[in-house]
Amino acid sequence: MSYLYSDDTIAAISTPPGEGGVGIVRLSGPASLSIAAKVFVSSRAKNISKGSQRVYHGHVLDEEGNPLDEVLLHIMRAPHSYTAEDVVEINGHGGRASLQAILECVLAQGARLAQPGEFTRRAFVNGRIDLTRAEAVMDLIHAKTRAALRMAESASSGRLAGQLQALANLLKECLALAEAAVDFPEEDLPELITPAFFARLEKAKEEMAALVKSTDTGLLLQEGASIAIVGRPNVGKSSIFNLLLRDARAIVSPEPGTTRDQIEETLTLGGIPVRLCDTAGLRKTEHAVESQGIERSRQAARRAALLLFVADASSEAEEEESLLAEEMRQLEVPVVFVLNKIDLPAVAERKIPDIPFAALCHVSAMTGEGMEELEKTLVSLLAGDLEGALDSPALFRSHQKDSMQRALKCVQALLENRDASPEILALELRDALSALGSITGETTSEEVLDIIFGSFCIGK
Amino acid sequence: MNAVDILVIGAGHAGIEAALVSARCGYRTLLASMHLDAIGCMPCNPSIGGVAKGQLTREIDALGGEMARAIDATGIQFRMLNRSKGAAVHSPRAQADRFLYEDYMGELCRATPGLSLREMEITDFIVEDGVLVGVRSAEGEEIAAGAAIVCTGTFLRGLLHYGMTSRPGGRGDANAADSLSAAYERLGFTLGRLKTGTCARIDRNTVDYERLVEQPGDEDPRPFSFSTPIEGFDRNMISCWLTRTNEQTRDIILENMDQSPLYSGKIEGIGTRYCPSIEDKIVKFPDNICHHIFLEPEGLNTDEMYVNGLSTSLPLEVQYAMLHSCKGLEEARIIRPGYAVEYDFIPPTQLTPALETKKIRGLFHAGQINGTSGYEEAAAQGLYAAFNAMRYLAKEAPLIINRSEAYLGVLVDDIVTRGVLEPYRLFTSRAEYRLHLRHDNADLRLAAYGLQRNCSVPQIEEREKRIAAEIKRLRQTTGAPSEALNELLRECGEAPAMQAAPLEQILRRPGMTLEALYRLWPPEESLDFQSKEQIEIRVKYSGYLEREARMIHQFAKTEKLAIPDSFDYDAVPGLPRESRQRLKEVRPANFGQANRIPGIRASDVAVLHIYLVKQQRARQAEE
Repeated sequence: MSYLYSDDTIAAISTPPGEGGVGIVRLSGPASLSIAAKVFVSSRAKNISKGSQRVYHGHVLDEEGNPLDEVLLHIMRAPHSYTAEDVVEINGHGGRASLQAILECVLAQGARLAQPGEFTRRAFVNGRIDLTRAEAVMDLIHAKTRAALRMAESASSGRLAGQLQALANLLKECLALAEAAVDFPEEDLPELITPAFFARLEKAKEEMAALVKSTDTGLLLQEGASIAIVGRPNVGKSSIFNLLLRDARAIVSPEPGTTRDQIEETLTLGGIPVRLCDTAGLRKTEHAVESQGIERSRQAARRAALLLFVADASSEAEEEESLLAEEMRQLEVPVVFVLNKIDLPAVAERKIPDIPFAALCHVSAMTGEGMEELEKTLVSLLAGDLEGALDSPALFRSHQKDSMQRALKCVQALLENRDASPEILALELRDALSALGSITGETTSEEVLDIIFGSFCIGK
Repeated sequence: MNAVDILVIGAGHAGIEAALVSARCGYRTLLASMHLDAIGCMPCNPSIGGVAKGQLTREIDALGGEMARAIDATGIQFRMLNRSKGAAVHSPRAQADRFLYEDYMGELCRATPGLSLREMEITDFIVEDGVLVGVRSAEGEEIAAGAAIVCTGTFLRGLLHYGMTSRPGGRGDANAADSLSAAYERLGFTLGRLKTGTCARIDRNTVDYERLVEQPGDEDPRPFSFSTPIEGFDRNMISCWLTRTNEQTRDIILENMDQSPLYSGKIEGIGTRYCPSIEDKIVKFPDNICHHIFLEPEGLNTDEMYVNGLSTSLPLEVQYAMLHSCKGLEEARIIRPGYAVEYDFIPPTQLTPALETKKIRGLFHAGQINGTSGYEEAAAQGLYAAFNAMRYLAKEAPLIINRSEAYLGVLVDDIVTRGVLEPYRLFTSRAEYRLHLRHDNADLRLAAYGLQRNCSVPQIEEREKRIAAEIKRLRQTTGAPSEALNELLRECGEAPAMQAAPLEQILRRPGMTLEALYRLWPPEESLDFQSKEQIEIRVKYSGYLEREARMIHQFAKTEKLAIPDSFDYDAVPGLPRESRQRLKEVRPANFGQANRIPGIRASDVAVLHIYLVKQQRARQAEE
């Protein structure tokens, strides 16, 4: 399907992947404001759906109403925007995964994921970009398409491509049955819409749901596994973060609560892309800004593939530490317990929280002792993870997830309405295949006829 | 030199519609045929309609064509296919008395003012500067014409195959037209070769009906034409009869495969998968020995019966053996043998979406010359080509009916955009917007484009008002649970009502009908059959129809984005070579069509669009 002349509303993350910190989810089109209004709560309780050219502060909420991220929301009314349409830019701080979550929120509210270069294309078609840049736009489309093709080619040898193709084929075969029931009533065909027909679609539905779930793993692999460093304040989390990074980005000071926001960096550990996230110390606080930072730390911890739980070997375990440990146990994310400050006199028989750890490491961020061991431990744990993830195919792109979700909806609708006439069953299957079209290729009516003529002796 | 406005070559189903509509619109029209005594001949099935084809016939009628009226006047059995399924796919079909049908069409053509008939073979086109100015006949006569519509069917280099013997011919009983193929080659057209076939006709007096299954027409037959009153319509006069092939039939075919021109490589043309010969079916599905055979009477006053399902090009004696192996046909006598026919076609990617050749202005093609099959497909193209020939003569923009408006639109767009690899037949599965393209609303969809002979726009508009008012009433009136309602629901096989609901919602229950609902909540004024039908369909399908309407809305926008005819694809930087090649070949009329060309990617179309906008803007800047 082409989106040449669409008047629908599109959305995408418009910051390049892999860059930490602030990022933007951009919406463009007539419903931008109304969609944004559904996911955003302004700090001053302003209704933004009629908003004018300005910036709002507030939170993006998920479907259950839980805050996803603290954001700045920038409204640009048509024609005074990049695309000359109504545009909303949501500036988040939560890093890649949280931007992804914001994007999914706006897609769930009716925005369509933008095609490669689509914002620029709209900008050009609406006269916002001058002629000299037109060629550049065309190049951009080509480049993005080539990149997507390379991506598809590299994936096509993989298991995922195989599974997607098998799924599309199953839907096509079911569609062929429904179409045959409509187009060939006079032929001597067996019963076409049978319990087996629905059983196959039931299986497809489960597989599709699993694939939608797997997206997170897929994005993880593509954009780096995330490791969050957590612990009470002043146990040396930032020092360990810096050592792993080997630069001095995070501010390290002995004052508790210095890292009020999380800091995210991308690095590779033993060839595996990793997003390392230094979180604010998790502790009870009255300080408003810091408590927001702590909430974000919790969210980062929830999304991480691996947690580094840092503790101070030179001081007694406090109650807060075991509370934290309990919280992490509930996250069901593998935890590496890191006892820092082994250069200082150790506390005799220091208590270790009673939760199952994936590994236990002793380090000194000051002298660097034990760091090499820690890195090796992380690599082996991540490699194990990767292997596990690679074992089951995962969707790699938010495009793929968007498509799969829309296809899944159609199959669910079909299965909830089994008594429907075959042309209605076909409608759902056609829509499902058309949604999958962007990842598995369009299904033509000719292909469906091929299946019908290949399966049944038809014609007089 | 004889001069006409529109010259139609061929008096088959495409030619008739083209000639009639041209003459009716006041254009001096000449219908040239090699066999004037076989106007509207049905050389294959004696039937009109079927799934998708029935809808198409209703569209022809809505546009002012003749096919539907002709079958209503000469049909001898009427059935609605897909009755057990949703209204969107109900498809009318009728058996024709093929001799009465020919008489009807022949008489009509002879009686239509402005239409003259000539028995002649056209052998060449006269072209000046890429514009058609006339034609030449086999006798050397030249006829000046403003436009020509070529509807030559299977006659171009037609070759008939009976077993391993073959002879030139356009039809079992008619000569082929070889010279016109050569003329096309001289003009630089690409030609292709296709194959089709038909079954033997047997003597109805030699069939043992006791051993066959009878297949009667519908109890409430429905006419094809919007102009034929539904009340009192009853032309069910005959039954069809069903038998099956068996193991013996299969063995006979397999033993004689060496005598099949199809399997010995003698036939080069590509046949259809949906209309296979019986030898094809046996080879491709060897485990399936039991194939349906329908015996269809060819008319009231003829002994000939069409043996639907037994199309073959095997020799006569094998055809006899095959027939005699089937139950009820043990004594059957053949009146005409089955045969295969190979013929030239002009691949339709050489046509514009108006069915005009891109090479020669004023030259239009319709029917099997475009690689399609079927009387209905041919007739619809004939009508459409004539509309566009007239617009061409009037120097008006062509009439383009798109995929969301009609099966006719699907058909034309498919063949000119995707091309034809085997004889093309319509199926409902080819239509993206099937729930909208129904037989019952063909008048609403198309009347405004047509002659308004069989239905009229003001009447349709009146009806639409009634329908809207009644749907509003059904939405606003609430039905409270009552003894009477629950009794009604029980009758319709539905669960009793638990709470009050709008009548519209009650009607949406699968077993409920408008007729039943009206027993408790009658309309303020009694409604006609068509209004009631529309109300019921629109209420029952409403969610799905709205869903399709949204898709159509998006579709229509890209269809409106025109690509100028003069567009230079070579000037667009960065288009892949294959894409450029395909685009130059098809020369799509708009971005929607460009998108549907096989092998063209969405990114190619996006680049084209940007380039075009850039050009337009540059031009504006200059001005």
